[in-house]
Amino acid sequence: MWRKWVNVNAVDGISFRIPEGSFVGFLGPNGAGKTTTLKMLSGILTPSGGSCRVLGFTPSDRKRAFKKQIALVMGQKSQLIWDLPPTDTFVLHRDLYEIPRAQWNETLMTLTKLLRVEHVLDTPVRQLSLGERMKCELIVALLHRPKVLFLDEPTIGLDIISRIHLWEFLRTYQKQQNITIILTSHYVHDIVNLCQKVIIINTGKIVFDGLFDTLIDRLEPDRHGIIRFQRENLKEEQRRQIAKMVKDRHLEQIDAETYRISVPKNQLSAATQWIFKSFPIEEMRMEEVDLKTVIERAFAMDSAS
Amino acid sequence: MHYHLTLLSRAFRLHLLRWSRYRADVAVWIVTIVITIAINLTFAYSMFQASGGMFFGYTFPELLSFFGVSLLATGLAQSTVHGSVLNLSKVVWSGNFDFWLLQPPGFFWRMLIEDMGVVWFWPQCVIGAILLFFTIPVVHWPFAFLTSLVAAAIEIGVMLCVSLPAIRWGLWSPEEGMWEYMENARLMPIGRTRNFMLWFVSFGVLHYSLALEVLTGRLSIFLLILIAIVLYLLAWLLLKLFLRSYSSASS
Repeated sequence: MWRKWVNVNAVDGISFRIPEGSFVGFLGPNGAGKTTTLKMLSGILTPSGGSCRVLGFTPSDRKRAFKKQIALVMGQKSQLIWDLPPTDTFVLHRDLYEIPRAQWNETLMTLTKLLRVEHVLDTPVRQLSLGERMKCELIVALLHRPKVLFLDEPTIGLDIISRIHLWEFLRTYQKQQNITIILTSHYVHDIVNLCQKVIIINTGKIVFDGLFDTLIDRLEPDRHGIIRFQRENLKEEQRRQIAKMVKDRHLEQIDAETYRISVPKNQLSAATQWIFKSFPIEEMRMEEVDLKTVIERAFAMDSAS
Repeated sequence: MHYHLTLLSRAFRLHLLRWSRYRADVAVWIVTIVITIAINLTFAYSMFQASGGMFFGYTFPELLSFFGVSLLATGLAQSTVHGSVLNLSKVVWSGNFDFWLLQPPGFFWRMLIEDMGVVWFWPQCVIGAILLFFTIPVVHWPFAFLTSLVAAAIEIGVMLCVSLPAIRWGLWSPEEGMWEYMENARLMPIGRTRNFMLWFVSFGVLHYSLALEVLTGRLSIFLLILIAIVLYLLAWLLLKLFLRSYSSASS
């Protein structure tokens, strides 16, 4: 009996540019190649072909000057010393990265305040909650003020409150320091709330590279809303118009008074104005774009589409 | 230079911090070592009496100096093995090795910062050194320590050669691998009682016997140094292969 080896191209001929100071999200299903891409960009893995440049360096050379300008945070791994308080890891990193003491003090104070973790600095890491630990991981990564920060699923396993805190912090910090952040996540809301640009990877290939709004417009061109007509004030002509719209599938009847409207995004304003002018409306509200559907469609795209 | 000295002092302080956290275990460890030494000395004394004052051709002070060398060298070796092999294994298999690769210091310096095992193995270094002080004439002390150091280097070299492939490819547990090595090398019918036995079984191993031969003037220390160099060369090549294959395949 022999073990059978199969070669898999985790990442296959991808090409992209990320401008300095931007917040970019990598989205993709499990095994899409997000983490492999991140590992190649940070220098952990050497690409078997092609090349990549980060801050003017070839990451896989792992030059000390390069390593001092980047940081990596992985949601499922920790670089904190498990049985000692986080402060000991912070001090260790001060020595590893040769951070001047004054700068280290100032950065640490700012970060602990922003992340609200002053109270856990002397608690052994093993006793911290997942949220507190992740915040400390971020502090360790940012102590040397990197120009590029790689975040690999930093919110994995966190509750919604911790995730919101993390979003707030990352948004503020990225704007303040103008650093480049590259984020991978399974959670589409992480990407929506943080990233200006999104790169979608599937089976090792890029299927989309652009603004998130562009992706939504492309995969979900229609906007949906709920309309409740004042039934008793509807005239016969208006009832006929509504029936025609239902027939033409511009409206979908939900119950006797409630309808669901779908209009292309670029006609939304005109359509709502016309409805308000033409019908007695009791209530009208727009629905949020269903990101789950958008992402499902995005994951189903291939690189040619 | 200043950078490396800072790292060393940080490693030392982290050691102390860990030591203070595990002081109860360290105390138990010391008692265990003292008891085991007593057992060994009793065994050696009985053998010495039974053999009519000669122990495989060695005098009693020579025999004691053998224990001294063994203890000191295994203390040094096991500290390094514990620190490098076991920590490296842990860090590779948990995936945290990725962080090591991205931090500014070189691989060896990063490894040095980890728990080097001195927390656990310092008592046998101290007791081994005391035994050497008692049994070796003052003029031979530097030579005795040098011999112990080379013997420890051989032990470390063997361990690295055995364990590096295990750490990278997971063919066997490095701890278990060391055990196999220890058991087979010493041919002693001992049970698998884990780390406590690591240094205990070191008595009688080939390179400590060679160290004793060097101490008693029957063998050149250069031969011992040559063995250590060959082993380190092999370990270095394995490490190169390890790092190369890690960064081209692991995800």
